[in-house]
Amino acid sequence: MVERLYHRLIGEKMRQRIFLIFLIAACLLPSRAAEACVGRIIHIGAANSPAERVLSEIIALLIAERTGTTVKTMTFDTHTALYDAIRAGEIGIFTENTTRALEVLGSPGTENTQDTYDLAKQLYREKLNLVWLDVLGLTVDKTPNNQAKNAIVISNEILSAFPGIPRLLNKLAQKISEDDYIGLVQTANSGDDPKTIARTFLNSKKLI
Amino acid sequence: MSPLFRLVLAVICLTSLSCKKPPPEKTVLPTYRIGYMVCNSEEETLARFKPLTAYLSAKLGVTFEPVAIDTINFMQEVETLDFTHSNSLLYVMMHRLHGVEALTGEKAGSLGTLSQGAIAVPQESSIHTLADLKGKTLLFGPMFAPTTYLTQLDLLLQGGIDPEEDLAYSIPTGSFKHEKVIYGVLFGKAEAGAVPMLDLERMIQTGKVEPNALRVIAMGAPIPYCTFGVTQRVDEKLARTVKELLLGLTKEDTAAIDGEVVRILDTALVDGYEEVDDSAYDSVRAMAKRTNMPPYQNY
Repeated sequence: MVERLYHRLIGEKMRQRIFLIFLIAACLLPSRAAEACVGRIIHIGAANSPAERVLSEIIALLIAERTGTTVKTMTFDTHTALYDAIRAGEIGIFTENTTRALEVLGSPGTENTQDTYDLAKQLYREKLNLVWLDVLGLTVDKTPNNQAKNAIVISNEILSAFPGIPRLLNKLAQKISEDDYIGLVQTANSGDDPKTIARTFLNSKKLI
Repeated sequence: MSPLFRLVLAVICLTSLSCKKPPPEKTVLPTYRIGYMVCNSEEETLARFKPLTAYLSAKLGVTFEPVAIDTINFMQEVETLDFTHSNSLLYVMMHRLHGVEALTGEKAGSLGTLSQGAIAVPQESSIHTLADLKGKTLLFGPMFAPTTYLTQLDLLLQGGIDPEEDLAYSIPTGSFKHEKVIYGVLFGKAEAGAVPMLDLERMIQTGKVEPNALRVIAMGAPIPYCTFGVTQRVDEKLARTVKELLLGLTKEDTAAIDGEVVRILDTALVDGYEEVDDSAYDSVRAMAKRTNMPPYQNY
């Protein structure tokens, strides 16, 4: 009834003017200071491939279950978009292989697998402030003498703020064999939920 | 000028101008920020240390602003602080990376300015040695906690136990993690815990835990407890004065907070402050190096 009375007494144009006035007045009122953020969230990034999404969910679940830290996974349509987010400091952890890593940096590789890994590790630290952890137990065949190595990469900021996490992730790296990875990729490609695949895998390895 | 525009202008004028006289100008005192590491919760930390902060402000005629900072974020905030109050591991990190100097050590509990961490199990547990821990569950405290993570990690590694390989460990979420570790062991969430002995002592004193409920299977060496530090941007005279005030605090000293007069040290859960030398923290540095922890991490 009040509303009908309001609409009867005040025409449409006047209602619009009143709204505009209130809007301007609201803008002039002193703003409250933003509430301080509580806690910190680790963001794990992955490009939009089933395998990378599964790996990111495995990392996220392991960190959350073992350290009580809040973790969120983020998926990006392209690796370019992923690296834009990494450079902007929005992503703290992701996985990478040495071939793509050197392409990202525009650096030529070497003929030796270990040398290539060492080079990627060094350049990522110098140029991107990122740290390569131990090699995941899988490789991608490139040439008979030079296979791309995969590893979990972590920002220096996250490594410093959560010093127990690198140790944990290095243990995970030891637990993922090439056969494990092939199995994870097959399961991921079959359309199963990455979170479910991640939990099943970690349970099977007694990591959670 | 349209009527609407006139109306809007009138509103703007009314809200920005005032018929009241402007308030008299206050004398702006210098402000110094004290970063207090969050022990259990932000609320609890501020409640403990606001009286001390108010006391320092009153004595020095300046404004000390207490800022509660989580251990995870503390290193990021150091450059915005004038004084710090933290555990010994954070002090070691700040000293090495930001040149923070120790002002005073903090006394609390039976060990005075020292504290200890232990690995403990329920009294009736079948676990008696570190080797017995293999395959068992263990609760750690926060990663930057010297007596509920660092000490115990060092004990385990020195004892040939790799937590990643030999234990199923976890860290509680949320606030009051130290108490959660102790309760977790008592109530069966884990078979062992990285127990901070000062927290256990307090929980026994307040009746939260029975005196013999837990049994210690490994004990770390005593290390410095909490520490007041001063950053590089504070002049020496102010630092010296703050130090003298802290050292001179007694149990009878009070401060007025929120309309109430409270005992400063009792509210802070502190017995007093003592001189401290940086060399006292070498034991913490040694543990951090052995366990690949900051500020000596190498990956």
